[in-house]
Amino acid sequence: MEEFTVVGKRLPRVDAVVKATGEAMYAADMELPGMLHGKMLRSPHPHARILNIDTGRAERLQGVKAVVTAKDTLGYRYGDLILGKGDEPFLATEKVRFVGDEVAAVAAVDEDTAEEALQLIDVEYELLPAVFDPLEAMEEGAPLLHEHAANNIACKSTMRFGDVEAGFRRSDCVREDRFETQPVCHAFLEPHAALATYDSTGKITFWGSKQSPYFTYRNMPRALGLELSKVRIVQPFIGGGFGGKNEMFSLDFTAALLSMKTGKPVKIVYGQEEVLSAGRQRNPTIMDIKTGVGKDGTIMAIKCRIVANGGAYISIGRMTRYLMGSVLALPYRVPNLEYDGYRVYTNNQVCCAQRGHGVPQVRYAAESQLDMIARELDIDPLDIRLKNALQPGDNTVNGFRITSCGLTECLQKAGEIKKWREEWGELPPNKKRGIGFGAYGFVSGPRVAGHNTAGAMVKVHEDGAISVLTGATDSGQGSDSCLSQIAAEVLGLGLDKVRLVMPDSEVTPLDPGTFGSRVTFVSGNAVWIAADDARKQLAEVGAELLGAHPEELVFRNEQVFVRDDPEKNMPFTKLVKSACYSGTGRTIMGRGYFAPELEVPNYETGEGNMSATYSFGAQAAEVEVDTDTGKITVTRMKVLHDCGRAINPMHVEGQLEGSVCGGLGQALLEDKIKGKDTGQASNPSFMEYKLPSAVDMPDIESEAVETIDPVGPFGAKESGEGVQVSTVPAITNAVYDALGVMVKTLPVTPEKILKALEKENEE
Amino acid sequence: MRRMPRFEYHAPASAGETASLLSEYGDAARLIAGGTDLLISMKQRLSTPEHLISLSSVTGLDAVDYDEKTGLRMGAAVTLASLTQSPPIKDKYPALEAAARKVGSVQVRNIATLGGNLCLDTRCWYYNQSDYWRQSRPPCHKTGGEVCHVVEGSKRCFAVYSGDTAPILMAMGAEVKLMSGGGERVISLGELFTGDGLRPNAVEPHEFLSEISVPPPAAGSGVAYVKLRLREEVDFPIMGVAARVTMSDGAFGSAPQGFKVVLNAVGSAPVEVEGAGEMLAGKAPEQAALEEVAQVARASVHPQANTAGTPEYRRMMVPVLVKHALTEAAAAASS
Repeated sequence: MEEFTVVGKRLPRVDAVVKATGEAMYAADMELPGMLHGKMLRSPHPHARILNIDTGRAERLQGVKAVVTAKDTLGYRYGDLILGKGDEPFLATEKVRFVGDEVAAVAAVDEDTAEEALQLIDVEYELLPAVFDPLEAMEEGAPLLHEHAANNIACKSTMRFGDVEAGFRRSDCVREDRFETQPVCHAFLEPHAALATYDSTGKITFWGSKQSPYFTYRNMPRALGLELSKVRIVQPFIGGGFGGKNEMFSLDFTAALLSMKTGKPVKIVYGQEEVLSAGRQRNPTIMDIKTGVGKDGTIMAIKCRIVANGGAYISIGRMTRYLMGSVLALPYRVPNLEYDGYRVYTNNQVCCAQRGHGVPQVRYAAESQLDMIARELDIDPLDIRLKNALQPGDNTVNGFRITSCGLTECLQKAGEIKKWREEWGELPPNKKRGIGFGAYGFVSGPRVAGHNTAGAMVKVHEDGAISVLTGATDSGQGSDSCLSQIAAEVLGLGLDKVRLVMPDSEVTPLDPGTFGSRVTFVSGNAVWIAADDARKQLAEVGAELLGAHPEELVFRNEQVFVRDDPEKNMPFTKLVKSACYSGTGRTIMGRGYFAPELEVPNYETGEGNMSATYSFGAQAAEVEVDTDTGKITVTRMKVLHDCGRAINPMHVEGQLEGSVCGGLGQALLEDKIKGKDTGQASNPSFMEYKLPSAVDMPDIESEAVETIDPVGPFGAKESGEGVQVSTVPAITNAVYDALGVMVKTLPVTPEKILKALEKENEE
Repeated sequence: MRRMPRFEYHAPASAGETASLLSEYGDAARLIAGGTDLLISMKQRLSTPEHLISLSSVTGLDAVDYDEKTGLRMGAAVTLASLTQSPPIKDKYPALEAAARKVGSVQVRNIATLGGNLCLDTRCWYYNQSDYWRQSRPPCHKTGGEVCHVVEGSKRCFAVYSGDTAPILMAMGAEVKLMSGGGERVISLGELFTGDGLRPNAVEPHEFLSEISVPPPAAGSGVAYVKLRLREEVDFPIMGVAARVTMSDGAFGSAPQGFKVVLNAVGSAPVEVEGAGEMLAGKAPEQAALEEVAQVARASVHPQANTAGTPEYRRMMVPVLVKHALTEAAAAASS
């Protein structure tokens, strides 16, 4: 008999049908009677003092119901949830700090009127000098964005583990390189949207495109001066988040504020232009990295200084900066480690978490440099990775405790692609091919700050179906399906018997939401426990009916039977009906909560075990470079991923392919083209922002390497996000293999390839 | 990007009706065919016409006819998708079919028209933006101002023409028919382009482009269009080159007029490389002959920092793509 009936099966997603038909409701689709439409007025200047805002003309326009500015707010500042010292007002107070900063908002009877009203708001600005480059921003005398931050340093980390200088002395090859990465947007297809309605009992009900509704639940009452439970956050379907929909943003707050002002529901939907030119993005970085390696390939020491251009506000920057340093200790054994990380304020769009959260940048630098070192030492790039790969039971210098770890197996399987070389045959003179590897380790549900608990409830319906209630959001990654499969497996039900309740702060239990690859691991455990609790409640009834002990009962294939006497059985539905309808009846409601035993790591010194387990993986990329045009085509990729156990292998593959798409975009295509003098992106559309299209995607072979984690639900851990970390270096290393030159700034454009080749020919 | 501004919509059924609507509304009207560029520019408030005159109901404007003696005639409102599916084009003008396939995406080609692609407005980082985006700077020449944000101090506009079907049609010697209330005129496709970034085509406000004609393919001739772009779908060209060659006994033909090389997306109009025919005629189709044309082509253009692909890279690519296009055209001629 197979071990599981639902877990591990390639089942279609629970939301597949309504998404395919278009019936799934997203925040922007929602309408309420009497609803008003809100629009934001944004700053046209990168840095300016607000001298006066005159809203009179806008207010007098027919159809306008309210205009709000900072003076209508309590002055709450969001961001920096780690220390709770936010620096970002929902509506600009004394200053604007980048082109796109929100200054005022209107609510009107329709969108056209709201747009027209924006043109009638008169803002008087005093222009201030602006700074866009992070190194310039750190210099003495640079324009200061925030009074509290000298040299525009928003925050910094200083990690010192072991003795790097001694490590370098023992090394046979020491390399120092500077790598730079570009700003990258999240590129969710559903833009930010918020609908809020305030009623006469003083309660706000809010529907928004939030991948972690909990953040809004905690921030909105503070910002509006309401009690926590007077704010109800309801989550509709979400069209992608990738880290960019965690925080509560200006539109979320402003929709609620405008509703309070007008007594009407207010909806605000950002256009993609607003998202791409004024929204969050991935941190551009300047990374100086020095690595020492012994002649046998053993890594001796890594020293790294990273300046991250964080944009105008701190957001989740403290965490980003910590992650950039701490992942230098993954996925290889690094005995000596030193890191100085700076998050710098500039008059640019604000950076926040994005799939991989700081890690893709660092691993691009470290993995690319490792290949350069391997070449100098004449070691195979795969061998140097195998030599240093972390193993189960290892503790890293900064305190990560490695439990399950399938990195070596992933690398070995990735190595099978070396046979691709034999398939190449003779290439045309202007074509070169190469193969490259990248590897990674990633967190599964880090404790960021405060609590990291996840709650779940499993309600058993009288017809034998169940509802699973969690506070975890499926932002498109498939967690609703994953959590449903876990609950179904525990209760021996088919997946079609699970009704999943999306987060609603009035109904669903506590859960901080979807970030840090925590949902399967943390919320999945809570669901497992809640489903098991429901099973135990039913088993008590079943034991009586079947004349057995509760612990002897097995729930499987919608039947309940006695383990050693399967003839004693009854259908699950019959058991449920008996429980609900006989005598006084019972409410079968399973309850579970889970939080891995973790300390919050020290974000300054980097000490601490960030995650209860870590995922690992390796990737191999094959590229073809046209040496006439410099154009790179990724022809094939192989992706190996230790995700503990694949709850649904088909969904894991989808995650891996998504990460390849994201990584390929960052490696070769995506960039914010900066307008002169303003810092604003010149390409705020999917026409000119070069997200990979379907035809740019390579053939992908992916495989889950299962290590069955001791803590994860059914042995599962993070799936997918980590992979994006190693896509970029797999591609850059493949280009290095093809051409013998390493391009050290992203994206690797055709022009950079040709210039690197030119330089190579000169030398 | 804002919502659509208000406008009055007209759907004339005939060319005559179209012409009279144009003379009635003049500058207050714009023609709309597929709308793939116009509607975006309206949402960006680059264009706010009071009247839109649709060409989609005009009888005969989506016809494709081929005659062995007179060649190919295409109505201006034929969609790029139907162009790529048209039997005479696939059969006699495969390079045109291939070039049309390189425009935009499947969805765009399904509604975008040939006439619209030829009359594509010039593009620039600082122009193709919403009114919200543009308010951070003073207006440029193309938005009614007096500065250029690309070339400091410039008195002219450097916006780039990047329609993919124009270069190949120019290489094939296409002509276009412009109709108006006062009659019609036929000009060579090259003459359609003014080279002025502000007003890139010679269609007068009272006129509309109704037909594109291409001579029958000459014996021994071959054409090709190569397009360089970052993504193999959706993107406008970083640059492109169309070439026509005539082959005779394995060498280039002796008549200079059998050759044409047209560069795309490096200036405000497609640029014909002067003297290409003289440099190539009668030569062996080898790298040396191609190299001369490639270098002349490189010297003839001055791309600016206004589209994807830096000026330096686009200039580097001119000789590379010229050679690719000539090689492909020669191969097409020989096959």
